[in-house]
Order: sequence, then structure tokens, then C-alpha cells
Amino acid sequence: MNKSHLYIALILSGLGLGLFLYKVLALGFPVVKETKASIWYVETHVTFEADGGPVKVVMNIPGNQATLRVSDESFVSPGYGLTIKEEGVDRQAIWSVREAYGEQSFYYRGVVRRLPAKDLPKFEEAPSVIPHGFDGAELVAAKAILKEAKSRSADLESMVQQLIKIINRPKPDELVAPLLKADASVRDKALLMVRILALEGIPARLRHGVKLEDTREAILIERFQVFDKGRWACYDPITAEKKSLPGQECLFLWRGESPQVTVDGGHNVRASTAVRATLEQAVENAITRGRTSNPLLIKFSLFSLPVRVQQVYEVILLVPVGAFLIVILRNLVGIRTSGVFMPVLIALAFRETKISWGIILFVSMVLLGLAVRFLLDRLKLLLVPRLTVVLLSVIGFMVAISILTNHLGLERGVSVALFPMVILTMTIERFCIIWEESGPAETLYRGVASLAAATCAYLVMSWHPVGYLVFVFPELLVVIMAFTLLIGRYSGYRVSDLVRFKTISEKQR
Amino acid sequence: MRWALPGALKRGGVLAINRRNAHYTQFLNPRKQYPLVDDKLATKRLVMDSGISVPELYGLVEAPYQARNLDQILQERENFVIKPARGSGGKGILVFSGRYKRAYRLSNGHLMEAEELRHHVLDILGGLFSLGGQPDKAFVEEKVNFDPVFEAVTYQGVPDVRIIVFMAVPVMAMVRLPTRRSDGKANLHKGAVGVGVDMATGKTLGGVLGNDPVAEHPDTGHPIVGLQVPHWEMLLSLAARCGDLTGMGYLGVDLVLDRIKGPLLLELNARPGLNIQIANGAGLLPRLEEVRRERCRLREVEDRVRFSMERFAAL
Repeated sequence: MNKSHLYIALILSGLGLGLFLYKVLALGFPVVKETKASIWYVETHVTFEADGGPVKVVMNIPGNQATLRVSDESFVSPGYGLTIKEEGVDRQAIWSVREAYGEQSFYYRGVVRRLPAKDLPKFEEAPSVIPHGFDGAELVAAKAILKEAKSRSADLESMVQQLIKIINRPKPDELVAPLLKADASVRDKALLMVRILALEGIPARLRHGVKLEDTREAILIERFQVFDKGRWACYDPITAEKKSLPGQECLFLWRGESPQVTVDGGHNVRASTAVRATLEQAVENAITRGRTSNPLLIKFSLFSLPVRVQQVYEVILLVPVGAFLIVILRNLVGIRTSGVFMPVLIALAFRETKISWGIILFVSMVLLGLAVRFLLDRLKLLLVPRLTVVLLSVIGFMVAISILTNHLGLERGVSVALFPMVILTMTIERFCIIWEESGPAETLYRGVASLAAATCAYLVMSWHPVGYLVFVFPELLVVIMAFTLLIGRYSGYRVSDLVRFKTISEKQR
Repeated sequence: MRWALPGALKRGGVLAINRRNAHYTQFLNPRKQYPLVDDKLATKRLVMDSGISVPELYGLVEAPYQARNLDQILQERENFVIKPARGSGGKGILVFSGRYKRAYRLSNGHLMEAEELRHHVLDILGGLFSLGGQPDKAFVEEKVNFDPVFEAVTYQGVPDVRIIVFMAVPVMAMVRLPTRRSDGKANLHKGAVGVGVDMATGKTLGGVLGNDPVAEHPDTGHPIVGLQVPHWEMLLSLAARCGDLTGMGYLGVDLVLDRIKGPLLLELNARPGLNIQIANGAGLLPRLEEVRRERCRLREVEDRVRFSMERFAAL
């Protein structure tokens, strides 16, 4: 009997485990992830079209703030000169070049660390207050607003909240109208509040920031900050809700007066920020250690990739784990799933929709698709056009379910669009044929088996230690490959065989 | 007990799917021979050249426009079968046994309009029933007028004899009887009854429905044990010759017994099912090993047939 698969499997698992052990023992990569992240990568990507002349790009970049420290910054800007301007906590990166044509792309990347809360300085020095700059009718209106806010409040905090509520009143409001255009933005409103508070000599400012949580496309949040008893208190500039202290909840990228990025000599400016809660201190240390002792290993590893690509690979590397599970279920257990890797792709979609919603959405999509498929049966269409019609109705149902659940406020339902529609279409067609050929019982069996396999795959793939292990130690996938080779040549009985052939073994006794 | 331990299966010599694929079909069935077996038309051509009889081919539909000429192909025929050339597991096969006005009567009594039949043929051409969904051909052949010996134990459709041929030696056989549940088809996973056959005599042993043993046909109630399969030795030698012709080391040969024409070859199968072991109440592994040991001295077809009749007799 041919044994070469054994040797290959042995070599593969030796390689994979060797690299894994080297990283764990020599470089000190931790095998288990710490529960709370305290280090994040923040990455801002800017693209624009250059007009052909001189270009100057000013990007606001984060500085140290409260308990957050920014370090290990890198700037990617091909051919541009770079200067960094610092004004207290506010920092700007300024890129310039004599001439540039076509699509331009910039990266800023920084590492943000959270210090323990005890290191937080107790009090800050009060900053200077900007001149309010009101005169004439404006001054009267501003004083009237301040008076109303004061009359409804007991202390500074409640006064600020009243002020935010007054400014955000639905228009028209005779108090606010003279000072604010009807289509004023959040920034305009905040600047007005800063000036009104300046009348009282209270320092205030607006800041833009991002939440420190894993995301490929961070949503910018605004905070109205008022200096109160030696601290900057944060408020939501629209709802007036009081927010936690700076540095707890989010990282402030820049202060409110200017946009995040301004470009002279270009148009179509796009900026997006990604955040990746990484790998805690221990992994960082291990990477640093690896850089000196084995620079190639780290240089050609996933950690050298841009943050958003890393996030894509976090998902991609999980797919083989799910596929391996399907191999086990099919070849060792003997469960007949419909389609070989359909359950893995469904499990990927479950990651976004979460399990219960995922099952509800999947089942309803398949049932709706089957209904269409059975109706189509009467029209006697040719095979490929029929598949296309089913695909079209699957997409139609997706849109309908997304819109419907969105209106009902069911956030998870909206993510039905993440289901792989081609796989769904083929699944529907296959179920339909199984139904006609082998009856509803077999269809139900296949459906339940596929769904159970998808659920298993989802549970394994969404288990955090698994995701952490394959991302930090992708060489473990080589070990999985070795095991897959072994199963590929496994010629023993499946669990299902034990039931199927039991009569024969009974006869032998 | 709900299930058997792996050791008990091994003692019973059960061949399961992992071993069949890893040790037999993958090693003994050369890839390039598969089209001969997977395509029923290619099989027909192959065996007819060597004088093995097959059901008569009435006509062939290779492209959608030819489906309009279906009436010409069918002429005034009442009994015929439509099959996909590369279908598997009995998928896409329709058996007709009469006409009513413009409609055709299926063997289960249902009527099918000419329009519906054309659509079914187009589905076949589109690859709905073929392996891997590739475009396919449809063909019309005669409906076998099967031997009366199985009349009482068949519910609509045509019973056939499945013989497993290992290295061109027949090793195990069963008769497959259509039932109401299998809708006239002779495939076990569709609900047909499989009846083990004594290799020495051609007499039926016990039957199996699904995974459970049965002694009577579920629809007709007649006993299925002790029936004599006619022309038994001839069937075995036909099967052995198919093994030679295809070069397949592990092959399922499906034969039917026509009342007048005698044994006809229906189709060949490169991945034959394993339920035949349940029908025979015996595992395949010991037989396969025995053949492997002694194959070199079995030159002629007659030697091999005699070998399997002697060695694989039921106890």
C-alpha cells in the first residue's frame, strides 16, 4: 500500500509544529489571548485625485490624551515631503510635493496604548478661553440663550446639557435662529456653543474621534468637551448625554474646527480609519523580539500587512478550520451535508448575523427560494435560465428582508445580504431535486444535516481562541493540512457505517 | 443494540465507503476508463462490439432542437424508456408503458403530456441529472419485457440483477425489485428491495428494505426468498466479460432478464453501492481478498465463473 501520504503528513506537521513551538518557546508568543485588549492599531487611509500641480495634504493625527499614548507611528506617502506640526495635544501631518498626477494614496498608522487609570494626572491646567466675537444683535441673542440655559440648571453640567438641548431644538426657534443657519452641521452648532460658553469664561471645544474597537471602517464620533473642575467633561453634541472621560471610550483624532484631512491641489478626497484591537503586550513584545533575532520571520508574516488586510485574513484563515470540520463530519462521522463547502460559507455568514438570526434567515431564504422553484417548475424553463431566475428571486428576497427588518429595527436581519447568494441558489436547486427524487424526508434530513454542520462550523470558527491561534500561528494550518491528508487516506468505518451495516455484524455472531 | 462496534463490522468483513474509495475504486478503476462506464451510450457501443446484448436503442437527442422531433423518435411506440446518458443512481429515468390520446402513460399509471416529456428531455440535456451537472444527451430505448419469474415480486418498473465484479471475477450479486416507494426504480436508496443471491446456484436469499431485512415484497406480499434467477451462469459470465472489456477493477454490472432475448446489459457502475452486503448478509472484504490472492491463475472467463460459484456459495 502506498504510504507516501504518511510521510508528507509527517513532514508537514513537523514543519508546522516546529515553527509553532519556535514562536512559543523562543520568541515567547503567548498561546492564549489575554481577555482585554489594551493596544490598538489605528490606521487612516486617504485617497484623492491630484490636479497635476503642487499638492499639500494636511491630516490631523492623534496625540497623547488622558490615558492613551500614541507611539510607533508610520507614514506612507510615496514621493512626498513630510513635516509634523504639534500644538499641545493637537498634531498635524503635512505632506507636500511639487507636482502630482492621478490617484494618490496615503497611510498613517499609529499604535495606541492605554495606561493604567492610576497614571491619570489628577488635574489639568485650565486652558485659555477664546474670544467669543459676538456683537450687536448676535450678542443679545447669545446672552438670551445663556440666560435660558442657566435658568433651567443648577450647576455647570446641567447648564451645558440645557445649552445643547436649546441649540438642537427643532427649527424654527426664535432664540437660536439669528445665530445658526437652518442647515447647520454638528460642527457649526458646537462652535456656536463654544462661543456662548466663552461669554461666561468657560473653556470648551469640539473633538472628533473613533471608538477603540475592531472595525475596518470606523464611524467618526463627535464629543463636545467642557472644562469642568480640572477635567474635560464630554457630552454628546446632539443628545446632550454625558459621556465617559476622554481616553476611556474613544480616541480623539483631531479637534473640531477643521476637517480630518484637507488637500490643496486635489479633489475627490476620501479618508477612512480602521481600528484593530490587537494582540496584547505579550504578542507585541514577541514580535519585537522576533525582529531582532529572526527578522525575516516577522518581515514576511501577517503582522507586516496593513491593518485592513490583516482583518481580511483573520476571516480567511478561519475558512480552512471550518472545511476541516466538514471533512471530519463527512468522512469520519458520515453526515451527508448538501454540498461540500456550503456549510462553511453559511457559517461565515453566521459570524455576522449571529447564530439564531442566521438560522432564521437561512431557513426563510431557502423556503422562499424553494417556493419560487416549485412555481417555476410549471413554466418548464431550461436549466440555466431557471437557475438565474432563482438567483434573481434570492437577491430580491434578500433586499426585501433587509428593508423589512431595517424598518422593524431588527439590526441583525439587515445582514441577510452577507449570505453567499450563489451558494443559496445552488442549495435551493439541489434541495428541490432531492425533494423530487427522494421525497421530503430526505430533503429534511439533508437540510437539517447541512444546517447542523454549518452551526458546528460556526461555533468552532467563532470561538475566540481558535481565531487567535490561526492568526498568530498560521503555521498551524499546515498541521491541519497534514491531518486532512491522513483522513484523506482513512479507510476505516464511519460512524454512520456502524448503524448501517449492523445487521451483518449481528449475523456473524 | 442500536449500532455495531467497528471490530464487529471488521469481523463481518464489511466494506465501507472510505475503504472502497481509498483502496479499491481509486486504485483499480483508471480515470480514463470512466467515460466508458459513466456514459450509458458509450457502454452500449463498447459491449455490443463484443456481442453482448443490450436493450434496443430507439433514438438519441443530443441538442435541444432535436427534442421537437421526439414524436418521430417515439413513433407509435407504447413501451419505452427515456434515460440521461450520464445519469447516476437512476436519476432522470422515465419508464412508459402506454399512451392515452396525446399523452404518455408512465409505468406508475400517471399520464405525462408530450409538452412535459419534452421539458424533461431538455432538463436532461441541460445536465440536471448528469454527474457534475455537465450538459448531457438523452436517449430512448426499449422497455425490457422482464422475465415472469419476478412478476409477483415487482411493483411497476423493471427488476434487475446487480453483480459486483472484482478484477473481472463476480464476487457478489443481488436482485433489485422496484416497489411503490421506489416509484418503479430499481435503486435501493430510492426504496427498492435488494435481495441477496447465492452465487453458486442463483437462488435468492433474504431481502433488505432500507437497512432492515425483509422476507416478502412490501407491496405484493409475495415471498422473495428461494426464487431461481434464470440463466444464472450466463449472467455471471456476462458480468465477468464486462470486467474485461472496461478494464475496471471494481465494477457494478446491472443486467436485466428479457422474456425473449435473455440477459441484457443495462448499465455499468464504477462506484457501485455497498448495500448489496446488507442484502446478502455478508461482507465483501473476505471475497475481495480471496480473489486478489488467486486471480493470477484464473485466466479464462469460465475459470472465473466457476471460481465464484465454488467459493462464494451461501452457507
